[in-house]
Amino acid sequence: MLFGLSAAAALQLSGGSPYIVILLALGGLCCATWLRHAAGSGSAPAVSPDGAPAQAPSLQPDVDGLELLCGRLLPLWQKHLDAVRMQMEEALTALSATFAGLSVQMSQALQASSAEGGESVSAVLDDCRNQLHAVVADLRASLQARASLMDDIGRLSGVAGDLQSMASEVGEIASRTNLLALNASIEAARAGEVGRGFAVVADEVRKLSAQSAQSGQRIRDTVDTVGQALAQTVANAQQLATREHGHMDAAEQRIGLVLTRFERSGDALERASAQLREDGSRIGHEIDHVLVHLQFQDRVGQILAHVMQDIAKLEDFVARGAHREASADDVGAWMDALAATYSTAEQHAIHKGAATPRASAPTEITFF
Amino acid sequence: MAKTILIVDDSASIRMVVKTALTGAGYEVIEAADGQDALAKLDGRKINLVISDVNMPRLDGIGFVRQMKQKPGYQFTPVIMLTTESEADKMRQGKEAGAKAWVVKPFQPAQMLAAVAKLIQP
Repeated sequence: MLFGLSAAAALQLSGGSPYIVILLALGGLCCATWLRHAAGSGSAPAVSPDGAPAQAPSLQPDVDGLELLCGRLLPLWQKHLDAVRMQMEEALTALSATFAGLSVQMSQALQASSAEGGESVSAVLDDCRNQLHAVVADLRASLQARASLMDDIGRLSGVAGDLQSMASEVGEIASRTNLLALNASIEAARAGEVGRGFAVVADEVRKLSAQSAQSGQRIRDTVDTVGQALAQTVANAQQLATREHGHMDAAEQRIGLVLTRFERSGDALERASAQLREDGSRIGHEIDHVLVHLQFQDRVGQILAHVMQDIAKLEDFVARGAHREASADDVGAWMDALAATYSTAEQHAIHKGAATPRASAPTEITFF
Repeated sequence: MAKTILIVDDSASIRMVVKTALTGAGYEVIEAADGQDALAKLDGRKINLVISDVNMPRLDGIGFVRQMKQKPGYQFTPVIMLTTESEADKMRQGKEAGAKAWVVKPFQPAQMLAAVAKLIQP
């Protein structure tokens, strides 16, 4: 009787593991069959949920056989249950470690993503656009400054014209001075011996006027050369400025195109990044959820431990032969002692006859 | 400087879950497998908070908290009991031993962090 009760209680308590359920169901069936056979009765006595027999036991089983069976079967049950408990604990500890590691990695990845995402792609692109436009504006300002310089050089061409006319005037003065020196030489020759000294002076003046004419000619030539160089420089600069304006326009257009392409890619990247962050956050929550569910191992481990303790107690009970004199009060005391070992709400509910309840959901914290 | 929390539980997977939540929030964690092991870890080092299971081999959580409160330097260390027990009598025993909060497994890591933050400044 006690054997059957304990097996039934263990069956109820085993809750989650199919392995334990099968093991204990087989044991309970075996014992019930044994007792029925030993009692020569077609049915075992009814038992109320709290363990009290519905009627006084009148069984006289083959107790020696029962003791033999219990002596061999109960230690085996304990070993099987212990193996289940240990395998489950090892597997779930490894699973918890894996999921805990994933949770940490996910959290770190999300933190890193949030830190990098502090400046959005569109903000970076806006900054790039502003900086590139500033560079283009600077280059345009440089072109403008060079155009002003070229205007100044162009004005120098006008100055060259003035210098040309001044050189012509020098040539004209030299020509007229030469003519005057020639007339002075004629007049000195006509004066004879008296005019000989004046003839020397007139000759020197004529030579100076010839040199002045040559200098005037060189000045004109040089001013012509400079004027042509200036004109060529201004023309070249204008051509260069035209080309550079064209290049600047093309560069600005290309910058606009590149930025637009980056903007499109950036938008897509930003959407993908946001999606990744959202998915990562959701997966992180799901991993946390898994970690909550994995905590059932602790509850199952405790329930198994209580069942194993009770099996050991039964083994000792039978080994001592105490079951031969067991009464309904002994059964009640046994059930009360078993109830005192419970640590979970499910165990208490099952003990009181409730259907196997689902595992508890996370509850609020009680502060003292 | 990071606050140090002692986790006492005979279930390695529970210790793992609690430790992950706490270290992720910047706490330092010391682990003990039961009350006896936990008492040995109270070697004068600063412990800012204890999270302890109730049902453990050798020395249970209630007994551990009672003995811890007798040790110099640990009288005022706040304790959170983390257990499958939800019976009022056990909770009363925990409160009388000196626990500040009672959490029934399974727990949400965020819930645990909130309780920790309430008892010690992070």
